[in-house]
Amino acid sequence: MPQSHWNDRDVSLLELLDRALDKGVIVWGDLTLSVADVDLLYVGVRLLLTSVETAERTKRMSAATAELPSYTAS
Amino acid sequence: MSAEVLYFYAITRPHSGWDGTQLPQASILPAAPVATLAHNGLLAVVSAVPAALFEPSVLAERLRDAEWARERVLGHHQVLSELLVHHTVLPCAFCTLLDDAASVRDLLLARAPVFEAALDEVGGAHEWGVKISYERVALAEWVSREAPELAALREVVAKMAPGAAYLYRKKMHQAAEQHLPTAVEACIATVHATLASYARAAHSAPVPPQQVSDYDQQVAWSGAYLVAVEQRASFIDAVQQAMEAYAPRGLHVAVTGPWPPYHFAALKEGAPTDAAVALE
Repeated sequence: MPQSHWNDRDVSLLELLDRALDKGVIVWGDLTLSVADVDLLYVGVRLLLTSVETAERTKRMSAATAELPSYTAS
Repeated sequence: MSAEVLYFYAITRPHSGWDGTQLPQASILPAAPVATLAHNGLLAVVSAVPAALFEPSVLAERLRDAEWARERVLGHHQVLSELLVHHTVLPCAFCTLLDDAASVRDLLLARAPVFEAALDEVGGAHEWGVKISYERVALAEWVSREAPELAALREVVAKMAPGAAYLYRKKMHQAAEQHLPTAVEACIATVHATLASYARAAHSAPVPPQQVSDYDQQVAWSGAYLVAVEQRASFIDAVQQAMEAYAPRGLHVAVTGPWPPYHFAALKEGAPTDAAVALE
């Protein structure tokens, strides 16, 4: 039986980026981030997510994703 | 520009039991408590933040600090999660900023019907995200063994002498590889149709391979479903059935939620110019 190697927490955080960075109500104003800024941010945070986690980060991330139940495949 | 600008989290409609005091404890910045600006039954949820941090040229630079950026993304998310408990929520995109309370009021005033309609659509429902990924080797094995399209080839191989069968096995392997996309597409179509039947609205999008290169598995597809609270249990049951049905084929179905309805908060009319005018 093939095993999944997804990390539930990373899946949730990536799902969050997919949503918060380019979905939701878009208000066009003088202060809106440019598409280029969003792309940079996306890449930067993604790189961070896949880097080695410190205990501090792990703790914060667990707290942040506690409300994101992941009924994730085994 | 004034010393503060408003970080704009969401447009909400309070639940009837909300007494106006339960505000999210989280915020976009540690010292920027969440506040609400009410107008005609709509509530804008905001935090006053230093313009020196969030003014566009500075913000773009700050967001290059991935750790800082992530703290902000998580802050945004935590506020939305807390709001979701008590309100119908239209989540704003991350780092939506307005000049001041007057800008917010003008926006709510100018677009009230659009926001009302969007709130009606998402009321009493949550967004759930579903991803389908596959493991190439496991799926190819399943296709060689089970896929109806390869039945004829399987029969030929089964009747062959061991030496000749070797060549045909290679042929089978190639045929299986060619059928992988079909097998993945069939899974996506079936799962999406099933899950959409439990949802008020649904989004479906293939995931480009380059976006998911850090997974051990190949993510092929991503769906988002707006599911009414009373349909939630049935929806999750359907997802779990799909997981169990497809796992033996090397196809993995994963679900996350409940999310604020990010995919369903797109406004029906949205020419950039009229919002810009409203913000003047």
